[in-house]
Amino acid sequence: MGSETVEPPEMGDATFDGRLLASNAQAAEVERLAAGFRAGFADGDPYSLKDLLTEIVLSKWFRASSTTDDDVVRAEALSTAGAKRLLTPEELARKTLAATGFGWQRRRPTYPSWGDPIELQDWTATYGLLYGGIDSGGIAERSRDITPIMGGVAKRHGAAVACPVVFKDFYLVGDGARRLFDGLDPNESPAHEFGAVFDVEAESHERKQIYSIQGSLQQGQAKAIVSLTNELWDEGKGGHVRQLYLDRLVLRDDSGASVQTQEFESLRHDCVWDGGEAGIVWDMCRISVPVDVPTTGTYKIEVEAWAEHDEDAQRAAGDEFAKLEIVAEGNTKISAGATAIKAKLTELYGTLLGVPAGVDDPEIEDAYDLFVTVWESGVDSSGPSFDMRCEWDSDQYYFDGIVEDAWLDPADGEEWDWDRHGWDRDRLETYFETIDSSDRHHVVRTWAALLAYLLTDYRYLYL
Amino acid sequence: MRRRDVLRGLLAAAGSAVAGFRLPLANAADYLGKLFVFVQANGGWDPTSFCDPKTNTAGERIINRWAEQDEIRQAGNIPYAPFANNEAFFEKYHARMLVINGVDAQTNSHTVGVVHNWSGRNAEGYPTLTALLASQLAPELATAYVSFGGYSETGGLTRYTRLDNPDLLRSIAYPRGELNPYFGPYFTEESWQAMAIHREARAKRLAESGGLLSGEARNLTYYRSALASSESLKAFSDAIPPEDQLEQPVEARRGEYIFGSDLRRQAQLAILAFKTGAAVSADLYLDGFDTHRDNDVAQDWMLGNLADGVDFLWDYAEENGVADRLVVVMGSDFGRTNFYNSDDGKDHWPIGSYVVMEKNQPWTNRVVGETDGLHFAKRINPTTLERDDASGTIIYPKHVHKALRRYLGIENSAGALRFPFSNTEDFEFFG
Repeated sequence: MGSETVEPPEMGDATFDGRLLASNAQAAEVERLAAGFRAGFADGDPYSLKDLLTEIVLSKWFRASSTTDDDVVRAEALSTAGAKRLLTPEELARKTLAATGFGWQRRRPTYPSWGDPIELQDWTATYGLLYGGIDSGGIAERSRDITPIMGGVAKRHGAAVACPVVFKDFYLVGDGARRLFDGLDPNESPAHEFGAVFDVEAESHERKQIYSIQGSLQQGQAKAIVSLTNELWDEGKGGHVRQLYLDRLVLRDDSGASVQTQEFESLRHDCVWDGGEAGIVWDMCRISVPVDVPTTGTYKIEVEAWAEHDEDAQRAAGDEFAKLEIVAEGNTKISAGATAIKAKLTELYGTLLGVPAGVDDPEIEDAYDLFVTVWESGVDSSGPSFDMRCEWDSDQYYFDGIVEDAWLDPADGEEWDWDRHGWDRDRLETYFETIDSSDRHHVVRTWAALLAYLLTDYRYLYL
Repeated sequence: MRRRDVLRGLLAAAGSAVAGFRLPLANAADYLGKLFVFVQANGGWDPTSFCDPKTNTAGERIINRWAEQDEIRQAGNIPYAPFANNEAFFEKYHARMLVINGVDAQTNSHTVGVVHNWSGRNAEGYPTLTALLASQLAPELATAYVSFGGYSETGGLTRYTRLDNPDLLRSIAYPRGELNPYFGPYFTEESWQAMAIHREARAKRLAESGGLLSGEARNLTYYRSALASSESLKAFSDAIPPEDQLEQPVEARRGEYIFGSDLRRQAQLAILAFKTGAAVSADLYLDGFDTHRDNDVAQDWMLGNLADGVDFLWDYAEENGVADRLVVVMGSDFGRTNFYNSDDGKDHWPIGSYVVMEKNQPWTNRVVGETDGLHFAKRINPTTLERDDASGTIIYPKHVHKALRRYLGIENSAGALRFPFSNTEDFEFFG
């Protein structure tokens, strides 16, 4: 039940009436359970612990979730009713591991424990006492009321867990194998309507090609986002050696008529250099071109472009062409991206909070508002890659099933050796070089914020 | 929305949602009142080798081995046993010390003794004085009551915060990871604030959704307060020196025994919490006084460490400018028997003592209460504080608590009235 039965009050206790009512009612309930345990519940066997536990969980004391009056005595009497209580540190750790797959500060059994109890092989060994846990010595009673320090632990837990969970889901495992973010495009921002990435095979102004996307846009202000997605840096030359030339952007309606034209060389943007006949781009940044959509309908966004590499760069790039991304962004309230994000939020509310919600639920709208706020605060000011420094290595199981032998355990009976055991950093470094951790539209980092937010929700921290 | 606004809103809501406690606001560095430390010597100290010294009585079993070759000594008006580090301690602090001897815990049970001595009642449910003071004097403070272990019942008046690890405290005060050299910061300040605003708005909606059981209403109120004020600990966190400059736990081997203590570190953290306005009352905790074997070996080290810790507490308070506001109360579950058992230990004995300390007070440099040569408590006249076998009363913890409540100005506080000491004599311990 998570709480003691109510003791009978003593004369003079301020809440005498309520406590007396509660203690009498609970005593009667305990007597009922005891009698049922002795005789067997319903047609069950006597002394069946399984039946007793079932009966307890089915009791009104456990299942109570609301009250219909504001009687003070009744309120006091029901102060311990219901199953809502703060999770203990151990329960929270297990819940997070089960829900996210990440064990913050989770250690392998072979790792030296420095005397910490073996059963506390995670953050509960360090933060457990501060989160109201016990040491069975001087502190033998769990804190059932959350304190500001415990609130800080909850925030720290949320932030520390969200980062590696999001990183793994979006960059280390494929769609279909993700724990929380299956089916989600990491480039799908709240403003996302439609988009595509193209290999730019054209190598000169004379051979420039038109790359285009087509989809539905709502009347009003929209944006065409144009990006080079695979910048190439040459350490020896100390500079970028792949240039994307952007000549012109044209917005056409469904009849093919030009609605708006933008010459890139005249576009004022930090990432675009005036190359005379075209704008030159070599960074992976979002180049935003505002467009006015006259009426709701189908539109095509065309970009005329070509790319150049110097000889060394071409050699280094192998067969890889410059990649051009074109994305149409619209209203964050009604975009295709908004729909996808709200659908995922709805799913997360169920998975993490146990709250059934629809996409139009105010809860989801509120969470989505936060998503937009965080996204807008970073989308134009942060870098193009996932640059959060995660505590992924605090979970010694983090790369299990992803990188073979990323963690090296001592053999049976062998002593721990810091030079030979633990993370194989060289192997991991090699692996990391194969990872594309781009986050051009700041979506993955925004999901990290939302996950941290959900991990500090009242309904996550309480049973 | 600013954090303080959130918390003000919570305070307004708490009155109807949850009766009997007040929610903490953020840091209240403008609190300039007294600061309180209760030092819980856990397990049952031996007052006859400390502040209620006893020499041996002819015809009786030996009560103290040190008395076979030494005499009771006196610092100012306070007698003490020539044992452990007592001489240095009493000589240095007798002028700010009131010793209350012959306090009857009415039990030989540790559990009951602890509850009785630190709450004033021998049944559970009454708050510690630490909690009462915190709830009355600094109800708006996020971590008004800090505990390093021991008995810390709050009676629902306030909450206590456990302080154990300064590095962790730093990481909690800066949960966004902004101080960590290896990780984070995970989110921008702007995003972090947006998360806080949405979190509070959502919790507020839940709290106001109606029909909540009182337990859940209470949970939500605490949750909103805790999440909103957790980062008010930054000032305290910033004041804590690096690990290598903190007082280090000590460990000592005496024969087959190994003793340990981090009392100095507890004192250091408590004083820094006071100095930065993070707390107003603290329970310090030293375990190991339950000396059923080799009493003298263990009590020698434990009482010595206790005195050393309290000495450090005062010095550090002085260094940090809060000594003039400090009130210290030392006590234990009860005392030890007036004889040694077959293992050279001493078992449980219900009679104990308190030591109350404060600077520049007229009631210090005194001993009140009395025990006979075999450490039996004697009846005391509550007004004259003289022995009065005919019409006096034995001193119980409730008398000490009631007198402290009055002296410290909280006897008529809502919390004190909720947990009264009815039909209890008023002892004039503090004049």
